[in-house]
Amino acid sequence: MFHHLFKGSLAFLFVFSLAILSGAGKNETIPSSVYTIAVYVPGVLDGSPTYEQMDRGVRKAAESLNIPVTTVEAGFNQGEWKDRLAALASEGAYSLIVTSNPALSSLCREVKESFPAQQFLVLDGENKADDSQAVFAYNHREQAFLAGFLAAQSALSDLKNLSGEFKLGLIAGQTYPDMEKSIIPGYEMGMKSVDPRFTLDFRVVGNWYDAAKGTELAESMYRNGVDVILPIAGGANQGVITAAKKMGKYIVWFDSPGTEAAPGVILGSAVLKQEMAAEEMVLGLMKGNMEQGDIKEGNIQNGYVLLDQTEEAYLKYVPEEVQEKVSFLMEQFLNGRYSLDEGV
Amino acid sequence: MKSLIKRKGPFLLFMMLSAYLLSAGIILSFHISPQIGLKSLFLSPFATSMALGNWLNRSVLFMISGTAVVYAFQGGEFNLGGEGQICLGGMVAVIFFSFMTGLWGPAGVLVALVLAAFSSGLLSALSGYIKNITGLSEVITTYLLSMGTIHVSRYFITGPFKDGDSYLVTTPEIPSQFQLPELLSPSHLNISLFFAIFLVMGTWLFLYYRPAGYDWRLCGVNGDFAAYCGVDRHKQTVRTLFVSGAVNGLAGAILIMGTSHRGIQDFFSGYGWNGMAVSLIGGNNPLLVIPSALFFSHLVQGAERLNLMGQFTYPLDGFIMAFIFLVVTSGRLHRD
Amino acid sequence: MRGYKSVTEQAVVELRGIGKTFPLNGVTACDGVDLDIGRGETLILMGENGAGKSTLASLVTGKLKHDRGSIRFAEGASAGMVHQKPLIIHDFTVSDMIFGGNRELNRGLFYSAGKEKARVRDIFAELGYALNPEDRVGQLAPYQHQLIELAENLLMGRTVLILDEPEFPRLSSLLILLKKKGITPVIITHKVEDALELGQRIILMKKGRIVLDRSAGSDKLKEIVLENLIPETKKKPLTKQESSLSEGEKGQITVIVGHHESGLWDEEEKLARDYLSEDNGYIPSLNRKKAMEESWSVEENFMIHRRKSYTAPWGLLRKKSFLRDGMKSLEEYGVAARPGDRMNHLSGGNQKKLLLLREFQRSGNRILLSEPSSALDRANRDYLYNLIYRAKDEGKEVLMLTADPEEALRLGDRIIPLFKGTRGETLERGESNLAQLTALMGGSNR
Repeated sequence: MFHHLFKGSLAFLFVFSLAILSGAGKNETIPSSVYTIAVYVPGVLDGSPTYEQMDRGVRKAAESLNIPVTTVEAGFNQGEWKDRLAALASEGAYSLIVTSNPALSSLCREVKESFPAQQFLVLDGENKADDSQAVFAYNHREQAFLAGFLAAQSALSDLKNLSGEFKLGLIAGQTYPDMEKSIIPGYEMGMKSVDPRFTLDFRVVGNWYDAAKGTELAESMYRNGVDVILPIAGGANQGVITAAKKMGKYIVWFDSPGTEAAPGVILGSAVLKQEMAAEEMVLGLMKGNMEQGDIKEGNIQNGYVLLDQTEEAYLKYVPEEVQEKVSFLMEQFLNGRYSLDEGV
Repeated sequence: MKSLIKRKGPFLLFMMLSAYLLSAGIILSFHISPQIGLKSLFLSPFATSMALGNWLNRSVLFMISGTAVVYAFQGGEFNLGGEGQICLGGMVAVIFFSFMTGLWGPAGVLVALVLAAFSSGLLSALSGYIKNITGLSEVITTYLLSMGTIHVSRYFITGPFKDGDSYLVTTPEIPSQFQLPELLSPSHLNISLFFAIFLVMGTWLFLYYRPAGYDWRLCGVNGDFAAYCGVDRHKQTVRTLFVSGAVNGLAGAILIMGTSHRGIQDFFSGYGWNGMAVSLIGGNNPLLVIPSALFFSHLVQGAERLNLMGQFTYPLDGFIMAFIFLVVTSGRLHRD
Repeated sequence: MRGYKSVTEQAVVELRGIGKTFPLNGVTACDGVDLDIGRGETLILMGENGAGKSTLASLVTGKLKHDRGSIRFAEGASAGMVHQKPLIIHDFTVSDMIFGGNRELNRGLFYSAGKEKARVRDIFAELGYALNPEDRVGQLAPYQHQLIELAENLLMGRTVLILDEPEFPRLSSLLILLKKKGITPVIITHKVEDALELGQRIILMKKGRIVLDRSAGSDKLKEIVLENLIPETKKKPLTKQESSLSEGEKGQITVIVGHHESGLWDEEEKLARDYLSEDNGYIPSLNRKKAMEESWSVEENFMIHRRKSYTAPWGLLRKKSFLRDGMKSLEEYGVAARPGDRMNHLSGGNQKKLLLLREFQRSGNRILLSEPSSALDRANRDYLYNLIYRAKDEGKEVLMLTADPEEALRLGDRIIPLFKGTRGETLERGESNLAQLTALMGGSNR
C-alpha cells in the first residue's frame, strides 16, 4: 500500500512541477482598477443567447469606459445561486454586478441586506420599485403579443399542413409570475387581435431541461390541431423543435433570433434587445446618469422589444402577406398609434 | 481508537496532500496565474468571515453525510442513495413545516428531525429488505430508489408546494422560528455545528465501544466471522442501511433548516456523493470524518472561488473526487 | 556454527549472516543465517511454526529485503517460490494466471494467448501433469494451483525453487524431473517422513537460526530430527493428563472420522448450526477466515464472544477490565501477543493458539472442533491435545471431526466413522485399530 502511495506521490510531484514550469511564464496581473464589473450568469453562457448578449453588451460599455469585466457562471443549480451571488458580493472587488433573469431580483435584494454597498443591475428583472438594484424590465406582454400575432397570422396563411382549427400553443418550462401575468395574456391578445376564434393550449414541462417531455407535449398538442407553438422552456425547446419537424408544424421563437435552428419550422422570433439594454444601462450607471432603484422599461415603442424582420429564414419562409401585416403592426406600435393599453 | 487513527491517518494525509497538489497542478497547467489560482484555492475560506462560516457550514453538512456513509461502510453495505435520502429528509422537513406554521420553533425542529431521519431511514432500509429477500444488491437498489425519490421531490417542488410568487423553482421559505440560529452572519454557519460534532463522537463511541457496534463492524469486515459469532446478518443489513439512511435524512433536514431555508430545486445536490468521498478519505473512520470533511469542503470552496473569479470554469472538485475514488478503490484491490 | 557446506561442490546460493527484523512488531525472524545451497541438491527446510522458514524463503526470493548479511547467487541463478496456498483469481484461466500482470513474461501491453498457451501446455506435459491452460483456476485442486505457480517460475527461468509444503502427487518423480532441468529444489515441510524420504540434506530452524544441518542417510537422523522439533516451551502450560482418559466418567470425546470426500465438511455445517446457538466452543475447519478477522486487533478478536458480558451499565464496553482478565489468560498459556497488535502480525501458530484458548474458555458445555490439528506443528498439536483433555476433565462434551484415523484413535472415547455422508456404527475406545478404522473410512467392512 505505502509503496503505491509513494509511487503515486512521485507522479503527482512530477505533474505539479511540470505545471509550475508551464504556468510560471504567464504571470498575469490582478485587476487593480477601482471600478470593475462582474457579469453574473445564472446558468452558463454557452448556448444561452440572452446571457451571451448581456455579456457582450456589458463588455462593450466597459470597453468604452476602460473598465475590466469578469464573467461568472453560476451553473444550473438554483440552490447555489444565492450563495454564489453573495460570495461575489463579499469580494468587495466589483463596483457593479450585472445579471439577468427576474429570479435574480429577489436574490439581489436578499444579498444586499448583508452587503449594502454592493450595486446591482438586473436585466429582465422584476418591474418593482426597490432601491436595492437598478432594473431593466422588458414588456413581456408586448413581446408575447407579437409572438401571438405572428403565430395567428401564420395559422391563417397558405402555409402547408395547417389544421384550420384556430388553435395555438404555448409550452413553458415552469410557470412563474410573469408567465401568468404578462406572457399568457399578451400571447392571447396577440392571437385574438387576428381572429377572436383563436384559443390557447398551454402546457408546462415541469423543468427547463427535459427535451423528451417537450417533444411529448408538443406532439400531443399538434395532434390536437394546434398549428403553431411558442416554446419558453429552456432546453426542452429542442424537444419542441423535434416534434414540429416530425409533424410538419410550426414554431415561433422568444427572446433571441432563433429561426436558424430550424428554418421553415421556426417562423420568426419575438426578440429582446438585451445587448443594447445591457450596454446602455451599464453606461448610465457608471456615468452616474442612473442609480440604484431606477427602473427602465423596454418595450416595442422604444425599440427594445420587436419582431425580428431581418432573419433570413423569416424572409424566406413566412408568407409575404403575413410579413406585410407584421411590418404594418410594428410601424403602428413604433409611431404610437397602437398600444396594448388601449385594447385591440 | 488511537491505533486506528494512527493506521488510517497517513492515508488521510496522503489523500489531502495529493489532492491539493493535483488541484494546484491542474490550475497551473491551465495557464491560470499562480498568484490568483493558488490563493483562491488555498486561502479562499479565510478571505472573509462569510467565506469562513460557509466553509465550516459546508464541512458540517459533509460531516453528517460522511457519517452516514461511515455507518454503511462499517456495516459492510454500500449506500449509494445519499443524494435521494438527503433530498427526502429535506422535503419531509419542508412539507412538515408548511403544515405546522404555528408550532413552537424547537419542538418543530425536533419533530422534523425525527420525521426526516425516520423516512430516509425507511427508504434506505427498504434496500436492505430487498437484498435479504431477493438477493438484489443494495448497491443498485439504494441508487435507484434514490433517483426515484429525487424525481418525486421535483414534482413536489414544482407542483403542489411551489412558491407561486418566486421566479425560482422553489417552495416558500420555511417559517423563521424553524430556521436554525446562525453563528457567523452573514454566512450559513449555524448551531448544527454542535450537532455534527455530537453525532461524530456518538458514532465513534457506538461503533467502537458498544457491543452492538462490535456486531456492526463485524458484519462489515468479515461476514463469515459475524455469522460464526452469532450475529444475524440479515437483521444487521437492514439496521445498517436504516441508520445510514436516517443520518442522511438528518443531513437533509439540517440543510433545509440551517442553510437553504427552502426546498429549492437541487438543494441536496452533491452532498450525498461528497459525503462518500469524505468517508473514504477518512478510511471510514468516524473520527477522521472531521478533518476529512474540513479538507474536502475547503477544496470545494476553493474550486468554487476559482470559478467565481472567472479563472477556471471546470468542476475541479468533481475531478478531485474522481481521483479520490480511483485511489481508494485501487488501494482496496491492491490490499485484498 | 558457521559455514554450512553443501553436499555438492558448487553452491548456487550463498547466504552469509542473514538477518531480518520486522519493524512493526520487533520480531527477529532470521538471526544470522549462514547457508550454502548446492547446485542440484534437494534441501529440506524444517522447523515449527514461527521458526523463520517462510521469512528466510522470502529473503532468498527477494520478496523481502534483509537487514543484515549478504546473499550471493551463482551466475545466472535466481530463486522463485511456490507457495503453500498460491494467490489465485478464480475467474482467470490457467494461462491468464501465469501471464497476467507478469512483466517478466510479457513486456508488451498485451500477451498473445494463442502462442503462450502452447508453451504452458508443453511445460505441464514436461512435468508429467495434464492441465489445460484454458481451465478456470477456481475449479482446480490446491496442488494444481501450486503447479501453476511452479510453471510460472519455470517460464521465468528460476533455477532455485522453494516449494512450501508441496502437495503434488508423485512428488519424488517431479523432483527428479526438476533436477534434470537443472533446478535446485528447496522444500519446506512439516512432514518428517517426507523429509527423510525426499531430502538429500535436512536443515532445521528454530527462532530464526539454523540448529541442525545433516545430509540424508546419516545415523539416527529421524530421531535427531524429531527431538529437535520438540519445542522448549518457556512455561509448560498444562500437565499431560492422558491418564484421565480411562476414567471416562467426566466429559466425553467423540470423534467423527472420514475423508473429505465422504462429506466431512457437510457434517460440520450441519453440526455447527446447532453449536452456534449457545455459547459453545467451535473451531471451524478453515478457521483463518471464519473464526477471526486478521485486520482487527488481538484484543478485539479475543473478546468477541464476551462483548456483551463486558458492557458497563452505561452501555459502553469495559475494554480495560476485559484486558485485565483476558490478556492474563493469554499470557498464562504462552501466547506472545500484545492486545493492540493486529491479528495478522501474529505468527500462524500464535493465531491458532489464541483461537483455541478463546473457544475453550466459552461457557457452553460443548465444543465442536473440525480438523483442529491441521497445519499445526508438533508443539502446538500437543498444546491442543492438552486443551482437549482438560475440557473433558471439566465435564465438557468434545466433538471432533477429523480425516486422520490415528488422531481419532488417540483422542476418541467414541469414534464414529463416516463414509459417503453416512455415519457408521459407533465404536467405543479400544474397540478398533488403525487398520480397521482405515478400512471403515474407505467403505469396506460394512
